[in-house]
Order: sequence, then structure tokens, then C-alpha cells
Amino acid sequence: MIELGYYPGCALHGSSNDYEQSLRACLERLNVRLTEVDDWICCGASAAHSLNSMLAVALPARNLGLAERDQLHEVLAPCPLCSMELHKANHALAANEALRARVSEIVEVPVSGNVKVLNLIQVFERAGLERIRRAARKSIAHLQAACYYGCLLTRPPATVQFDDAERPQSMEAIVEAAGAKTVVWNFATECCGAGMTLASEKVVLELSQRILRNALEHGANCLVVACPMCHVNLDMKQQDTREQFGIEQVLPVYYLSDLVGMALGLKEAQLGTDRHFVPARNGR
Amino acid sequence: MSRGIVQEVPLYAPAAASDGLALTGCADTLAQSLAACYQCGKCTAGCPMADAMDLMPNQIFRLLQLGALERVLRSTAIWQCVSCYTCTTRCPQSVDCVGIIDQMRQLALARGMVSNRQGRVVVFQQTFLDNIRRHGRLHELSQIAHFKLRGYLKDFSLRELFRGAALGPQLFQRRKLHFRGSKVKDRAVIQRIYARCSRGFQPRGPSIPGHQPGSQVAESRAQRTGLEAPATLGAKGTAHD
Repeated sequence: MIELGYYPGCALHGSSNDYEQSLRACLERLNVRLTEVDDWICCGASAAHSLNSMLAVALPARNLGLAERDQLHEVLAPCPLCSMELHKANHALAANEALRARVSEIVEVPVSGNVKVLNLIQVFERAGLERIRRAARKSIAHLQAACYYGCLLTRPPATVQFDDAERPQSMEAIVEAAGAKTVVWNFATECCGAGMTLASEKVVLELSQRILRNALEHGANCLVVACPMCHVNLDMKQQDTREQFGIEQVLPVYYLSDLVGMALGLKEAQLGTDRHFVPARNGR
Repeated sequence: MSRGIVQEVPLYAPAAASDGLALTGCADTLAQSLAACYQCGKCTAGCPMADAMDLMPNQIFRLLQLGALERVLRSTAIWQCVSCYTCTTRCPQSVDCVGIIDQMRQLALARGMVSNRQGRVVVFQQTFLDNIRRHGRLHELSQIAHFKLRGYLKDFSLRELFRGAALGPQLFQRRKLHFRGSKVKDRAVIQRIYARCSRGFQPRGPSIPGHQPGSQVAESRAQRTGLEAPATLGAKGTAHD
């Protein structure tokens, strides 16, 4: 049994609740127990770091402080934007005693900056690739996955300290352990437009079409993501993107936990893949 | 005129520079980091947004070195940046490109240099922060409504107002949109955190080591390159005091 703290972030309790459903179902099968940080608040996302440097530290710091208070020393943050903001606050706080004291006062809970923040890939690694391999009971060998990391799982490297920023391979290792094939392609770490979906749809569609096209050109029959915003832009907006840019082929978009979950024998309704916009092809 | 509506939403900027940027260690390190840029152009080469920007990322950093702050603050580029960190990651001189752009966005807002063209992104981010202040967690429905309404008041585009409306029912059907939303118990603490982070904002311009912004050299260089001279550098080189 692996025990971890859990910081869902707004998206996983909102429009990306299929991601939460999927990772909870999947991690339960792998004997990972999640304890949600009590009364967590938003990390501030891009809005805070763009508009107010102090809020950009304070909002994630409050969550780190709450985790510490609850004795949660390691916290899974499945949204890479949350994860990056928590890491950033951690670094800023750990390096600066004055800031630590001041921020602890501002957020009304002591913060040391010592809580370890994990992304979903790291939690699967912790559960063990061998364990996933052994627990897999359903073949997903028909899936040729383009593993899409997007921006913030690996960037900025000094902050997130995870895998290789230019050619990450950690997701491929998990997908292959689950029994699917992976393709080599060029857009694994290119940006999809992230939180600009509402503010600047044109940008999101343009960036997303490059990603879809490149994945298709390299023989992928699905995309695998570990980010709620990537999923929104590539799944929810896919029909718009395909219509606007004349892409005929449909490309299902799975969360990493969907793929592992399918291999573990979980059904569509258990994982929430029946709630995606692009129909999933796990039953095939 | 155009500014008015954008600014109706609270600024949420740091209380004072000494409390905000300087305390987080940003101001000093960013200025040093900026001075190291030698214009290799790698930031621009990898930028997914460069096509759409009025200033390329490397031009932003060069202009700042030359002291042409206002030209940068008035650009649309600083708001088109999606903070993907490709530039920061690849910079051979370890310039914190996104950190500098963040600071530019905050300065532009504080000095009222955000125009209608850039406004939509600003309004989105302001309504986002405002939503968090009220609910603690993002309440998507009310944020979308707030953003759409503000956007409409700004340019009166019905097309923008109803763009994506067809998605609403589909999201409800998939149980992805919620009337009530995920609630925070202690919402008062969030208001207090915001208040402590947002009082009497007066951010400072970046100071560049070994360089006086607004000096004759900078001005003549800026004129030669057809760029505006730095007119509003009120806080000449004082980011370290």
C-alpha cells in the first residue's frame, strides 16, 4: 500500500472530472491510497503568475501548508500546471527564510516548502512498471499511442526536475508496460495553447492541429496525455480543429490513467472514457 | 476609453514592490538574468506563439536592455505568451524569459498600458483571479459568464459572446459542468490572503545592472531603431533599494 496526499486542483473537480475518476479507479487497483488535502484552494494558475507575483507564491503555499498540517509529506498533483506552481512555490520558500516567514503569515498556516510534489507519471513509477505489467489482464496492443507531455510536465526543468525536457520517455515506459505500442513523433513537448481555450480560441486550434497532424503522420491511433488542459484542447475542441483544418481522421485522446486502467481491466464507465468527446476505442 | 473596462476588475497586484517582486527575489535575479541575453534567438525559434507576436521574444529582451520599456509594455506579445516555458528551458544564458514577461504584464497593467487588442486575455485572467477570490476554487460556469460579459462590454461582439455556447449542453450531458461546483469551507481566509497580496500596488520597472534606463545612449539607440524612448521609467534603476 502506497499512501499519498492528493491535490486535485480546480480542473479535476470541474470540467476534467473524468481525469479524476480515471486516476482514482486506476490507482485504487494498484493499491495507492490518496488522502485529499483538506480544504485545498486554487493554485492561482497562469492568472496569478501573470498578474500578481505575490499571489502566485501565496496561493500554492497555502496548499503546501495545509498538506504539512495534515502530515501529508508527498502530494500527487495530477494537473501539471498545479504541479508546476506548487514546485515553484516550494523552491521560492525553501531558498528564502524571510519569504517563508512572511508567506506563512499571509496564508495563516506555517509553510516550510518541504512537501514533495509528484505528477501522475511519478506515481505510476512508484507503483512500479513491473507491477503494472503483471496486473495487466486485458490486451491493449491495438493502441499505437503518441505520448503527449505538453509544456509543464517537464518544464521548466530546474523547477519540476522531471525526466528530459526535450525528449522525455517516462510516459512511453508506462504505456508500454500496460501493453500498448508507442510511436516516435515530433510534438511530444510542444504547447497546445493551454488555458487560452476561452480567451484565444484561434491560437488553441492552430497549435492543436499541428499536434494532431503530427501524431497521425507518425502512425498514432490515439494520443495519451497527463494534463486536463491538453485533454480539453485536443479532445473537446478536436471536432472544431478537424473541421477548420480539414483533418479527416479522428484521434481518441486518453489520460495516462485511462490506458493503464483499460489494461487493468477497468470498464469505460469506471474510467469515465465514455464522457470524452472523441469516442474511446478501448472495447474495439 | 478602452482601458476603463479592463480596469474595472481589481488589479490584484502585489502590495508594494518590497512585499512582492523584491521579496520573492524576483526583481534582482530577473534584472541580472536579462543582462545576460546575447541575442542568439533561441527563445524565438522555439516559441509556439512567435508567428502571432508583434515583438519576437528576443526583441522584447533586447528592447528592455536598451531601456525601451514602454514599447514592450504596449506590445501585444507579452499577453500572447502562453507561459509554456520553452524559451526559459532552452536559453543558453539561463535568462528567465517567462519570469521577465510576467513582470512586464504586471507593469503594463499597473501603468494602464493594456489596450483593447490585448484585453481579452487580460480580462480572462482577471475574471479567473476574481473567481478564485470569491469561491476559493474555480467555479467554471460563473467565470465563463463573467468573462463573456466583460468581453462583450469591451468590444460588443455578439459572435464572441456566443462562441462555444453549443458546448454547454454537451458538457452538462457529460457531467463536466456544474451549477454548484466544488466548495471551499474557509472562504474568508482567501479574501484575507488576497487583501494582504494586493494593497497599494506600485511595481517598479526592471533595472539593468550597469545601465541607467533613460540614459542618452539608450534614448539615441532607441531612436535609431525607430523605437520609442523610455518615457515612463519613473523608478529609474531603483529596483534594488
